[in-house]
Amino acid sequence: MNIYISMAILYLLLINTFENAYLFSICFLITMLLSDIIITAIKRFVYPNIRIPVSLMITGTIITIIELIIKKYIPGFYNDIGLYLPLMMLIIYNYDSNDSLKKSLINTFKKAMQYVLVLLGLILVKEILGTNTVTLMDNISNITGYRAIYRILPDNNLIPMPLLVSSGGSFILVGLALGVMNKIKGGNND
Amino acid sequence: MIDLFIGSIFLSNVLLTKYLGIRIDKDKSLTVTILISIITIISSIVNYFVYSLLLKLNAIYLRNLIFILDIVIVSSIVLMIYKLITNNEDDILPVVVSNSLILGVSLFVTSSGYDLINTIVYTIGSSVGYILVMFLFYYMDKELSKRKVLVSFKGYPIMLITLGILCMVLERL
Repeated sequence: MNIYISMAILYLLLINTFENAYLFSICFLITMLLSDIIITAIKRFVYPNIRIPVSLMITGTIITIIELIIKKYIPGFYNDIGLYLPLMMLIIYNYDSNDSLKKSLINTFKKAMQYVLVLLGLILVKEILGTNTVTLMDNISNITGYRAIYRILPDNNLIPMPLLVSSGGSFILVGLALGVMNKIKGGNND
Repeated sequence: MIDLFIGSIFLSNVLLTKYLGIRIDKDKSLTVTILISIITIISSIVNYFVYSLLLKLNAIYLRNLIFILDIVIVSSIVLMIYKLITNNEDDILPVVVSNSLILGVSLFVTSSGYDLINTIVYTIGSSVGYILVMFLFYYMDKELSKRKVLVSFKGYPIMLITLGILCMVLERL
């Protein structure tokens, strides 16, 4: 679980616009579900010592396909976080589980959806506080034909706070958000 | 070259500016950090040669798969030697392989188009920077464990806030 959280935090820190967050979420869900189906299906035939490389290769193949599609159709998104997309394959958390396909798929979907919802919520807050805008369509405007970037609050002295979209501010915001989430859940599952 | 080395340690520290290598596990030993750094250096150099070969063969789309395979092989060899020397039987391969520093540095170096010497300098600088930040963090973590911290903020939330403050300090250098 700790490995999963370590990798998942990377994207919370990295992404700055809501559009990139939902595009990444789609990639993440597709990768997680597809790789989970394939890994669970072939687990019986794989020798336990080489389960990690095999899981990595399967996830890596799916990510390469997604990366090539994104590079061709959404170049803006690829320029923003394209270098970090292959790192998604390091989220190897189910290589040693012995669950059935159905159970494993439900667990993965639950985990992935929890993460995606946290990601979307946090990036939305980060973007509103950091730049006072919400970007719905900018990188994908060459596909949809629309650009949708909305200003949220009227001019004021407090917002935007550029600190929150810098790297130091991102660390602090994510740390605060995780602390608050622990508080709401009641306890610390470190 | 010296600019690149100093810059990769402080100003463009891989952990603080590129977010690579964030490691949250209960085993906070520095041995794993040093092992990860050694594997980063070796695998980046291996990946540099592999990437040049892929460029010649016009097969860059295989980059991710070949890189991760290299990393698993290099990690296995280094950990095997480590186990032989120290007689440590813990299985730390998943922790090492799933660290984003190793793959991230390889990807960054190859996409920046560095030559061999710059690759070696940048990788060593990044590893030194990573060890430095982790050292700083471990001592801060020890200090923080003596102080009163909110229960919900113990562990990785306070680690991230500490890293944020560190990051802001290094940004102003």
